[in-house]
Amino acid sequence: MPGFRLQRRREVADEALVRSLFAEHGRAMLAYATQLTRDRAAAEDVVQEALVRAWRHPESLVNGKGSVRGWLLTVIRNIVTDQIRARNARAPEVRESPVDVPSDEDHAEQVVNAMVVVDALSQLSTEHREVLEQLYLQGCTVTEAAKALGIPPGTVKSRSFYALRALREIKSLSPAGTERSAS
Amino acid sequence: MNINHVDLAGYLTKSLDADEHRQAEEHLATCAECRAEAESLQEWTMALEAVPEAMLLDGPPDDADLLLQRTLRQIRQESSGANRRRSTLVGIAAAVVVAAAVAGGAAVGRFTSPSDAPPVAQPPTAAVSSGPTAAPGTRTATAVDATTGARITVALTPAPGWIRVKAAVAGIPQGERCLLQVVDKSGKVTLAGSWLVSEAGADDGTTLDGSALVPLDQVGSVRVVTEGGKQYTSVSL
Ligand SMILES: [Zn+2]
Repeated sequence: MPGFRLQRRREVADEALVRSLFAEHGRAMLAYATQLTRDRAAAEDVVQEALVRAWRHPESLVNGKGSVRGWLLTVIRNIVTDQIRARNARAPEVRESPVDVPSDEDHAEQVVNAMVVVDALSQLSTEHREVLEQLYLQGCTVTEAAKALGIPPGTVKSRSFYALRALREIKSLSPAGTERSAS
Repeated sequence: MNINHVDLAGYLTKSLDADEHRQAEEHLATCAECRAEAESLQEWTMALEAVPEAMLLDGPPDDADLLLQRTLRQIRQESSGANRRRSTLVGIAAAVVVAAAVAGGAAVGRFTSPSDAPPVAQPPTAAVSSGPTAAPGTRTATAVDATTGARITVALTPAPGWIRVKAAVAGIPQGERCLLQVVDKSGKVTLAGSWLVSEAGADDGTTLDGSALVPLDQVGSVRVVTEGGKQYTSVSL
């Protein structure tokens, strides 16, 4: 029956979507989820849930304004935030390690911005992005960054300064600025 | 930056020597303008330092084959659950073919052989709506566009004041950004869904679940157009 063949092809296409998202963005997704949860096993569960949501709503992947990676990372943040809220809601009754709960939340708030930063970095010029990646993500000194990029140390300093200002202009770090519709 | 009191670029890149660094700190302690600028940009250097480098890297995670397999297993399970829902549409499409054959042999809803299927202005919906697999009150229709060759089968299920729209669309090339629209009897257009045609979708069609804020008795037609406005197919109800 034609309908069944249609269905079967749809399933094959669905699996291909999930496989390609995993192959392209899996490392970034797991890194972000691990940073938020500080637990590799919990992070894998979050990544699985995010991929399943992408599979359920493939249209939001292609229709969104931001990048596919931005969408996936936003979904990861939302899942972790929901988990923390649910845990906090239960906490008064079960009284399990009450000290850990607020610190989890603080931690999540601190690193939640990583997704915003990745998004903002992708909007910088290549020159600006490279110098910031060398200095702050890879932790290079100015001399090391100058050597890696093949530019004078003075240029590394001034370029990184303007790159930081450009980054600030692209996005504010306020929580309101991090809100995007993805669930 | 038009103030030049202090080497902020050097300060933020931690490239000042001990003396310069101490001087910079002394200045920042007394100058609100420079301090505000330094603190604002330091928020960003700290945010950058908190980003795991892996978040910028492409590729799959290390040692995570099991994670992929688990995820694929979950979507297979969910889609076999969803098959029960989607099979309503498959059943309806089959019913359309049967009903059409009974009604006079028109080749309607034949997804496997589009070339010999003529455009159908008025599919035999009345005969189909009483089919055993259709939800109560569901109306279905099928059409093939003579020019584009694109084919659509829709099933509209009434809800109070709106409709659920199930559609199977085939014959649209890969890469097209498509909109599924419901046009009411006054000509007003409501979006019921949108998608990007995949390779598999181009070969064998795409099934869609959507909805539209249009009462069933006000529906005039359902059509597929691209974001650019090209119409691929339209079916009257
Ligand atoms: Zn100053």
